[in-house]
Amino acid sequence: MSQPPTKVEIIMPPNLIKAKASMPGGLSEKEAIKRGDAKVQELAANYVDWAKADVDELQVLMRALLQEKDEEGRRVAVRKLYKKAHDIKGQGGTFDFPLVTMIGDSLCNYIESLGEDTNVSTEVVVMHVEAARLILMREVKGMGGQTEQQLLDGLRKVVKKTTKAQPTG
Amino acid sequence: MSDKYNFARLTVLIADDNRHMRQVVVGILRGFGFRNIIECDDGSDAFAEMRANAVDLVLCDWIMEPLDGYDFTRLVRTASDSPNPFVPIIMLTGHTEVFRVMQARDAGITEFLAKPVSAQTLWRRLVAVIDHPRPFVRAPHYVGPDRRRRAKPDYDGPERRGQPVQTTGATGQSAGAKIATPASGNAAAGT
Repeated sequence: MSQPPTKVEIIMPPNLIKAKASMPGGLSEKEAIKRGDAKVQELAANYVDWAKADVDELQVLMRALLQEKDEEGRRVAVRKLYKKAHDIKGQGGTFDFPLVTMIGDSLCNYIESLGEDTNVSTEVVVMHVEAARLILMREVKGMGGQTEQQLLDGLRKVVKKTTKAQPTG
Repeated sequence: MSDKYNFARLTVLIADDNRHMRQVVVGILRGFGFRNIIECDDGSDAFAEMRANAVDLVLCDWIMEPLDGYDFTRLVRTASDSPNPFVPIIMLTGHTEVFRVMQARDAGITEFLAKPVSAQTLWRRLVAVIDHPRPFVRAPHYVGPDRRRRAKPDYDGPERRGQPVQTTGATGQSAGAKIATPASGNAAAGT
């Protein structure tokens, strides 16, 4: 890093990207979004397969965490688990699978709630894995129905119960 | 500006360690008309690519290893060997908590976009970057786009920024950059 400035400077850099984007032949917002959405639709055909693989990976990472004896190794394993849950959270909604995003979010929140504690509950992870698998297997788009809402409620209850029972580390 | 945008001449760099996420973003950008797209796995690769290519715009994830989006942004904004400290950086992340948004803002990002992304949300951030550029602030504790989105006419606290200072044309100083008049009103949040 360079030395931090000692006084405040305010600079207006030249807006080169505006000049470039103003060239003729551009797209309107409506046209561009339509084309962007079409590209997402092309990828949507593969989404369920790659999301299933991500969910399977969660379980593999959980097993790896359980086998880690060394504390630093456990911390790395928890980071990997969190990262995978975060990836799952970040993609579902793009393909109209918001429930998958919510399941990923729930698992991220659970892991975050542990702080430095590396004792991640296998029960919590497995429940999230199973819930996500079910949504993907049935290809439930949107918010689903009563069954899916009950599934989410069940996850919330397990997370709450586990978080309460777990001593803070 | 007309209501049409031509991205064919812009070079955009995407830093995200998730291949599928990159596919999504690249797909949307191609739909928008981008042709020059550089993909990277993490912040250190992204920084190296920035040194090798004239990048107009960066889209980066937060969680990447070894160098995450937060540290990458700080590096771009403050490193003495940064090829373009002023480059607009849009952070795409699943972290949507307020404190995270503020962390990213304080690292010097230009725009924040919560995942999951859509063509519409990404388009809006791109247009915001192009049509509403903010002055760039270099202060002892912050380097990046002005964090004040709007002036507060009713602000009656101290103006901490003082007078703007002309920069030189040294590395990362963008020779020819002009000095903006400090926005009237609230300076407390900016520096």
